[in-house]
Amino acid sequence: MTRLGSDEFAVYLPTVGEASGQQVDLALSAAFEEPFPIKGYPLHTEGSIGAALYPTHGTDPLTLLRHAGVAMDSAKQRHERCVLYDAHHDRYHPRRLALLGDL
Amino acid sequence: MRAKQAGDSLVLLVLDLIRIRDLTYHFLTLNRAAEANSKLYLGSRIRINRFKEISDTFGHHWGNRLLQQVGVRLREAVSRL
Repeated sequence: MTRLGSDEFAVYLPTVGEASGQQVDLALSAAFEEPFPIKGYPLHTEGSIGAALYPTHGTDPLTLLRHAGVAMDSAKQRHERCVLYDAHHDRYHPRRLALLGDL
Repeated sequence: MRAKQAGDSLVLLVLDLIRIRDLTYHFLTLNRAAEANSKLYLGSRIRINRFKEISDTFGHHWGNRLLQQVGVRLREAVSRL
């Protein structure tokens, strides 16, 4: 786990297997359901998780990280705990930018 | 003053480069594992609400403990898939 900002982190997790995007969403969303014991206190905190799959959503670390960031922003906007990257919702996807250029 | 600002920017740039190097190294290690197992794996970015506030209130040690617990839960969640 690497810290990217004051409350933002990047994580790579191996062996997702052949799970569907929805299964990945549900599994990761459950991570914040139970409180975290901190100094003896049950601490409830919320998290927004953006996920991108290798190699489907990127084959190099920076692309994967950028796509996970796009998904994380979607999660926050949609008030969902976890969102898997979807190129159709990527405002910065080259295809979308090319279309805007054409318009 | 300007020299200090330039120095601070340089320190931040070096820290960014170290983070990117660490992430790339971690990625390449997992990449080899993924190819060996023919499996997908996940890159994720997480925003933990109030993390800075929690870390400042309880201390950095407990902030780190919270991160470790989040990491363990994510790993467990993925391993069950």
